[in-house]
Amino acid sequence: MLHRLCEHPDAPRFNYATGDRLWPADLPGIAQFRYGLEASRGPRQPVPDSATLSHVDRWRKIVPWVRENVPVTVQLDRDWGVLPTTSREDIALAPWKFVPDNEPLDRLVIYRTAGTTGHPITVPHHPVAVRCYEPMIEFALSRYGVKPEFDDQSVACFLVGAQIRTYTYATVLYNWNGAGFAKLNIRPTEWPSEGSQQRYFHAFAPKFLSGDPIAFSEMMRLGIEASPAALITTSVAMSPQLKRRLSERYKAPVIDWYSMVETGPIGYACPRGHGYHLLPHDLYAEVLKPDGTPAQSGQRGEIAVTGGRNPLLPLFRYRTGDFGIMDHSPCPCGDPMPRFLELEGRKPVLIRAKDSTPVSTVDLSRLLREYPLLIHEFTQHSDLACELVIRPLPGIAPDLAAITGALTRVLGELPLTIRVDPTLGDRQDSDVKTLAYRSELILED
Amino acid sequence: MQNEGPQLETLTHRLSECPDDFLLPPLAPKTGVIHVEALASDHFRALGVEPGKINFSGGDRHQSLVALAVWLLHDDWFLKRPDLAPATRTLFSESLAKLSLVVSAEQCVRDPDRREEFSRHCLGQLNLRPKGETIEQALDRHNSLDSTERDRVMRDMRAAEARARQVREKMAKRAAEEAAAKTTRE
Ligand SMILES: [Zn+2]
Repeated sequence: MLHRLCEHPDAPRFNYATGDRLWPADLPGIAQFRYGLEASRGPRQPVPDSATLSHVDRWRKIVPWVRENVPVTVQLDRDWGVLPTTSREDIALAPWKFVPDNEPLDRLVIYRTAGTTGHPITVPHHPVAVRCYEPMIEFALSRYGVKPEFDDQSVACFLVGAQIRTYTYATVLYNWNGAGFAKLNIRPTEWPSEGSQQRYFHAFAPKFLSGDPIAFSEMMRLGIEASPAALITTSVAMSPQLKRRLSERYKAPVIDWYSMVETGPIGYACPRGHGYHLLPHDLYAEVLKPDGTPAQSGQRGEIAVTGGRNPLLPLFRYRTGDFGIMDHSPCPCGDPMPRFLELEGRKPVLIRAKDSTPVSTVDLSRLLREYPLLIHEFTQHSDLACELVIRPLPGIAPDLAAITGALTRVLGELPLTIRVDPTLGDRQDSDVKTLAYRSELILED
Repeated sequence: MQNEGPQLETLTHRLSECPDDFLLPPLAPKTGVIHVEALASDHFRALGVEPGKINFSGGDRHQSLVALAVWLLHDDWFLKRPDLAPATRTLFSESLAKLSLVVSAEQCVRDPDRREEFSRHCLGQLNLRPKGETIEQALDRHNSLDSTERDRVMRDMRAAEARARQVREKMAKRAAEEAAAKTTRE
């Protein structure tokens, strides 16, 4: 399979070589995780469960950061809400403080991520933790009625990218019975001749696709045909228009996927559209107020997670930088795990209308979603003047006058410029995410 | 630390005035003077609850700290709050056993820093913080004084530094190498 993926006459110029790095001894652990993913689903309380507490108690002895910041005299269940939190800054400054003392380093792998701030951090990781992605993907697919059969004669998945520069490679995955997998950059420059991408997709017919909105939209623009059973989309929130168009074009569900390098997958979009369900059973999620104490039920705050399965980066109240509301009530879709509602992957940014009243970015997003935009970047300067850069969906010219009108109704008569940039989001550094909102106004308490 | 307790100064002052009798060696089969278990039972009766058994797993040093804690907590503010009895029992049986590994009752009376630490330790175990302090301030101050923590950090500092260097070097080396294939974007 690997040979076929690499030697096909239309194969892209792969620039990287890697595999699933799985060892036979890893299999029982992954099987156990796969089992727990189904068996341990259930309603969660808005307080840490006993498994989470016992992990943290153990980390007080073996994880330097926890040892320094959570004294043994603190009673974890009682004082949980006032315990310190961790963030990407902590990982940026001293990642080794999160690596347990007794954890062997021979299988350590490194991922770099820029997140939304643009400052790359180095994340210590472990192949077993990465291989737990596959059961989670299968679970999310099955929630949408998709149950692909994997075998060593076919390709499980293409991870689609459309970037100026990104790693590309092909491999086979033991977790999926030796099925093929390739990370591709569909930009024409990466391929041997015109139409290669189309022929390559046709030849291998991946069972499903993963990627981000920009890549999927580019796939449509390039006229790449495929018949995946589902599209799993990550990185940037996808507009409902694009989701609908993709779903119609490829006749498959589009599944929003909430995942970070530091945490691994956190949530998947509820098949009935009721927010994002917490995906892994071994992750305790909470929503925090700015002071780090838990938000009230139904109150908006920053999502933080504890636990996970990366043996080289135990997560302790890790602030994701993403904001939302947590809902523990039962969901009609049947998944008993709690949900994140109004999930927004960014820090709250202060936007003010002409009369100074604050305008929520959630509302602006809701407003902008009415228009056929792929992504946008909205900036408010200190003099309140606003600037909107948009990348429209391919082949559609958005009604700029209508957008101006809608924004003016919400913001008042502020100076507003709208610019169309079809390359917005195509950064040289493939890991920098576009910030949907920026403001030069100072957020005061 | 959810609730406000008495003022810190009241407690440290009370500790400084602890009668020497409380610091006498605890009663043992052949030696010792003070009967710590009886002191503790008295305290629980004063709180209006059944005394129950205290587990002195930490030996003499542990018993002396319990004696000192009885002196500290045998005060109107605490005696009017029988709901503190279960936490008091845990304080006596468990958390003072740990504390006794690194600090003596004598130090907790003579040394001003240890007086504060002991007062905060007892308050913390009773889910109290000194009057006038926020939870954050109390936690902060408690951590910076915590002998258990500091002692271990001192002992382990060398090992921790060596380990940090080892992880750092490994990370730097692996950064240039291949990671494992990942099936989704993030
Ligand atoms: Zn649901």
